[in-house]
Amino acid sequence: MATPVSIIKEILKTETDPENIAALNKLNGYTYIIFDYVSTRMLTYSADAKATSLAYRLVDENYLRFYQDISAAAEISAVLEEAGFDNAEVEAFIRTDYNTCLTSEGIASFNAAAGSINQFVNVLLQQNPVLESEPALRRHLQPLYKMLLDEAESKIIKFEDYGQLRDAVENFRRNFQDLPQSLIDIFAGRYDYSKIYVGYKYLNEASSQIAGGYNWKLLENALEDFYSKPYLVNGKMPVKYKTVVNKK
Amino acid sequence: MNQLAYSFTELQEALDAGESGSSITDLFGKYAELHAAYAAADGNVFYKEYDRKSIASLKNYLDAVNAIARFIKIFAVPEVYAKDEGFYGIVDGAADKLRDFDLLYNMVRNYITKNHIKEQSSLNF
Repeated sequence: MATPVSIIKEILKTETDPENIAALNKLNGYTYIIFDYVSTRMLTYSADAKATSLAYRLVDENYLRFYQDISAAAEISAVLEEAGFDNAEVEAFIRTDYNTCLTSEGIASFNAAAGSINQFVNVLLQQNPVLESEPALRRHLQPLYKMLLDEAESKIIKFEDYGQLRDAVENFRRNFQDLPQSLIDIFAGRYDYSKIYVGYKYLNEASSQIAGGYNWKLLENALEDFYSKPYLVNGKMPVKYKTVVNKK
Repeated sequence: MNQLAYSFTELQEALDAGESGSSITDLFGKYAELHAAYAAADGNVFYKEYDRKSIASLKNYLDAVNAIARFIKIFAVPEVYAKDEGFYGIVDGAADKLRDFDLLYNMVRNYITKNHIKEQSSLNF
């Protein structure tokens, strides 16, 4: 792989302008400054299905959210129309022009519109409890992810004084305070466990939680063993065999 | 084994086959501990510049929220997966609320380590 050092050496071999040579030599020993820049961009323009890749963000993440939001908005609009409520704002949101959501500005404007609809529906539900039986109205439009290397996001920001720090923490606390309690109810509930997942990247974190930290490979090892067993049928254990194992 | 995420059902099957005796649903039970730590830390936060106890109270609070944020991430799943709406309706919302938390945590830590902790090296923020 070409590194900044090797690239500079390569250029120096053929460069004749003394000014350019002096400038390049100044970087000697400080190439880490541009290394981050290069490695960030290699990740950004990679074709891998990784969260750092532009293609993944645009196609796998944001397009799906876009599609789901538009479908949800169409359902919401239909319900509102049938119930005789104003659906103009929701109708205006329904579009097919995903190409407008490729830039930071486009994403910000889509997210603002989606947020406005969520708020509109929330208020409507509060004022008209009869609508609560409509599942479509309980669908929450999800904001699109921000664009990678978004300037607003990559800017180095810091607190200028203690007052700013206090305000920021208090603001976060206000926004966050109801959530932990609602999570207690969520994690006390029962669900369709074929539709609750542990992300592959978080298998070790989940193992530590279950096994108390000392067996952080619990799940990964269990999966490896399981999928390497020769007696599996289509990657699953036959029902008969499973019963025998469970009875032991 | 290269799936992006495994369902509880799949994980339990694998655990049962290995006879580890562990139950994947035990994971849910761990939240109560994180919540207890959070509730205690939340009740103790106070602001006083250059005050060691105040710094510790902020750190405890942010660490407790961080633990919840890490816990929530365990359940993150790509949008294409068929999800239990009742569960993910709240959990995805929580993940969204916590998305910028890392930034806040780092900003607070940077401010305090630069401006407050000079000789108080025993307090690792």
